[in-house]
Amino acid sequence: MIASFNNVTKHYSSGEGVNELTFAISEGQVIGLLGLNGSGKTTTMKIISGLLHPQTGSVEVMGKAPREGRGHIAFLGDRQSFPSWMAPKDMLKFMTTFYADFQPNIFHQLLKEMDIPAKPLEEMSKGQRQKLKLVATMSRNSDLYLLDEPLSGIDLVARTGILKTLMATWNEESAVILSTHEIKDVDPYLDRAIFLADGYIKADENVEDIRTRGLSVSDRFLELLGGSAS
Amino acid sequence: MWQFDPRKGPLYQQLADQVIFKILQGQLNAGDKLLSAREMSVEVGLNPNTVIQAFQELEKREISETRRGKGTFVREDIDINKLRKERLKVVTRDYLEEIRSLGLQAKDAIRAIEESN
Repeated sequence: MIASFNNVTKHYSSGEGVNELTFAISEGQVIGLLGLNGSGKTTTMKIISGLLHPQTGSVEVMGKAPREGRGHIAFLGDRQSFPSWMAPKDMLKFMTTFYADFQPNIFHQLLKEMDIPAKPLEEMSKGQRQKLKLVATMSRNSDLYLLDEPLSGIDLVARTGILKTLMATWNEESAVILSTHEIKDVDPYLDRAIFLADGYIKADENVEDIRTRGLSVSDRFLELLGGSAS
Repeated sequence: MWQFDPRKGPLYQQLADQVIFKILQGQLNAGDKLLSAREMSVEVGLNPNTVIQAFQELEKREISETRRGKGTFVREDIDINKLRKERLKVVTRDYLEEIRSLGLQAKDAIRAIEESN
């Protein structure tokens, strides 16, 4: 067991938040946390990583409280950014200083495979920057990779590259949780989908079971949200 | 080229079918080594777990075998004729389904096949 949520609730003063979340994450799974903007995806990620605390309920990461379990988690946040002057070599220095589990050999290999140029972030395209952030995250040897909206605002070619990198580097003794509202792109890569709406889990399903019913993950999403499948 | 349709059932099944199709087309032969699950996952754009499940399906259908420490291979004793017949059945079933959905019958399809030959 890598992480578990037991009846977790967290509200912001705005009224948004998550309610009564219960689920468990085991090794060897790629899990999609799927929902519209404001459905609670980022809040859930932040609770797992120990950046936010639940008001009620409990969370465990590798058998510990999230804050103590932080060393087991590699988190790619949606707003997280590195200083714009940093080039890949600076990022390597930064990451090895901060994270004992950082693997420079994997970082170098991925830079090459992902065609990331050796220049500062400010001179890169948005797709290149996002790929570099993902490479830095996946170069850690973690038990749980949390990727919050890793594909947002990125063109199709870079999106495919990012997902393939993820599959090529993912160590199957760990788990990956990725949140996105671009469900079609991630569909073939998921083992399991947790659908969130208004801060509640609407369904938590094995993705091949959904397909056995002749539905794509997006079809199921629309079905759960009460829309009609197109 | 690998193509998957998320509305056409489990992806492991679709992948297993496409490997068989490559064998029938002669792109893969008896005794050939398949890519590792990880390599295959990157090549086809699916999760490694799905690829492993497809390999298990191929093994169950006596198409591939895993040699310890060496990888997964197309079996030497695969029965191409049997696979071809199975494939023909599937293709025919799909074809007839479409014909019927047009309000036509099997005999219309047979006539159309003869005419286009």
